[in-house]
Amino acid sequence: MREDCLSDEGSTNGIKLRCAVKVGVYVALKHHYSKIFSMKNPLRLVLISAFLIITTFNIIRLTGNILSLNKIRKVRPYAFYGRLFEGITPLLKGTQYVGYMTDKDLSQNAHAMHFAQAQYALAPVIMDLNNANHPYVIFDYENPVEAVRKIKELGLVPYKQNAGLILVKNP
Amino acid sequence: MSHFFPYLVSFVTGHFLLNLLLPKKNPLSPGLRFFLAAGLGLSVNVGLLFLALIVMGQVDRAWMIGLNVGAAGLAAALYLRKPKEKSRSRPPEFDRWETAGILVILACLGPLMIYAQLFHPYGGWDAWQVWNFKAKFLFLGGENWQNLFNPVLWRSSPHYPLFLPLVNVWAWISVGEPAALSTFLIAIVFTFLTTGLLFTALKNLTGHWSAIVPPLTILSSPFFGILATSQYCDIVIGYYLLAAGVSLLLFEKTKLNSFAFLAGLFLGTLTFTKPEGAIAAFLMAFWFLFYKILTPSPSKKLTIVRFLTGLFINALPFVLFTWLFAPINSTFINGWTSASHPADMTRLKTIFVFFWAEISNFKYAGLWLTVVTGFLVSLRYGLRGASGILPLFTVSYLVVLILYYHINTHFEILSWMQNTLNRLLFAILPLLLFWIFASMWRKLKDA
Repeated sequence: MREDCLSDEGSTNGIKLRCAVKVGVYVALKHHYSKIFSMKNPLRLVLISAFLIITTFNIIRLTGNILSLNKIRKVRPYAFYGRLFEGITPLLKGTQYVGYMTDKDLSQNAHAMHFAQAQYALAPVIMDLNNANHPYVIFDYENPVEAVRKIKELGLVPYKQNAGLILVKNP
Repeated sequence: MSHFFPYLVSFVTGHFLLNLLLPKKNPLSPGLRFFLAAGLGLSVNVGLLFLALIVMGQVDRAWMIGLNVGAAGLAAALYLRKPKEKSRSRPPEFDRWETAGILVILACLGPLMIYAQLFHPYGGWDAWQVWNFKAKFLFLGGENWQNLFNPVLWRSSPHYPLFLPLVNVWAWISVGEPAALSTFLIAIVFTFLTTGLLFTALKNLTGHWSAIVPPLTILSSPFFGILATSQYCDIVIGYYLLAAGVSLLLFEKTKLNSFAFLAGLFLGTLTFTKPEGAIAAFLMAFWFLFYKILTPSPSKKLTIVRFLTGLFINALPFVLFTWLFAPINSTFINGWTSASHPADMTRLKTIFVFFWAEISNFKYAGLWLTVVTGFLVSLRYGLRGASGILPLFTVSYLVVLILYYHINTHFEILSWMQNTLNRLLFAILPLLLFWIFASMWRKLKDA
């Protein structure tokens, strides 16, 4: 094609221009693709193709994940358990430790996660698990009747109730 | 103050320091300079915050902002006083393809941010149990911040260094409260810096359009997105490991000792991120010194001195932390000597089987299998000179990880690997992709 264009001596300026553009594009593409698809190293072509296929697949999956998660979040918004403790945080100002009593099994993933989120919400106050000897103690029980019974048994004084949590004072 | 103020201060600090370190005649494109400068500035600011914390005994907003703004001003003043170099050559100017690539990466962060906000706006488990949790002690704990080392908090790994918590503090200082948005933005910023550095470094070294492919592949991966935005330290390790690798390859290309110094600075920062970061920094430093000692070069001593100086400067926070504060790792049992928790052959077999199960997992969509294949193929091209350090580092790092999984029998091996191996692999992925693509395509430009 390049030779054809170059031998086209009797053509008009318009044709010359079109030919020049064609030659330019041809040379640029040839130069460019010779770099990409260099036969000296076909491994480059294999590698780049593999990455492009993975990328395409990833884009489809990511889009699908976002759409499905968006649907779920409309019905069930993200809940951070630590937020329940925000009402208690101001009352513990200046305190370094707070006791944390619970009837939950912390070896279970969901409960352990709730404990970690609660500890994060209260930081820098340290939650001391199953230790009621601190000036303040939080009761986080699944069974509220059992919580009240335990508070009475330990002789503690209820101070504030917030979203199922009971903050008690150690007299 | 705005959420972006700390990044601006850190970038200005890093920008002037980088220009101060490097001669005017250097091959860094504006994009690559930006991505290196931002990480360098953050490492300097965090180091200063930690030193100020030791001296003052608590986080003091006004002092700490003043200190970091002062550091940026000092770096600018030193740069302006730097003797002018008589060089005809100008540093590379803005390349429209590089700009376009950076814009594409920025555009990819949009869907990733939406996904992360839907999936885990407060980050992953370790965000609220380890990293952001420690930051709250530093930020709100006043002079009792050292309570974060209390053995009661063993679940929060009190022996971990404080780089990421201090980045969080640096962001919170500016907004005045421990905002969840700040820690989310830090994860996004480090994701941007890592993928941007990967692209600009490859573009700089190969000059080829394929440089945009690895950042796109990892940014489009849902699993990478979750790990990158989980507000864990692994993306930070990924960035500094890559920055050190890029600096070493730039040293090889230019023979400028400033790049050896820069690599030392990035590796020094890596020590203060996490124990794995410290191991990685030690291994990469070892292989670099090994290479330099074996290679005949007239300026060998100067290179080694510059490299070690950079390493020691930025490893100072890690040294001080380990010396003054770090408690003993309470989650370690030496299985090679323990009678009750022995490390046996079954454990070793499980480790190898799990490694295979992890890299062939569907969640990666074949990415790790491709990376491993690419790694093996690239050994043919990428073992020349300093670039050979990177595969040696990767192999030795994986060997150390396998040994640590085997020797530490405190945890049940399957659940431990299930929780941690994906993160360890995630942290070395950018460096591996960089080395594979740089090795495969560098010849194009060299030819």
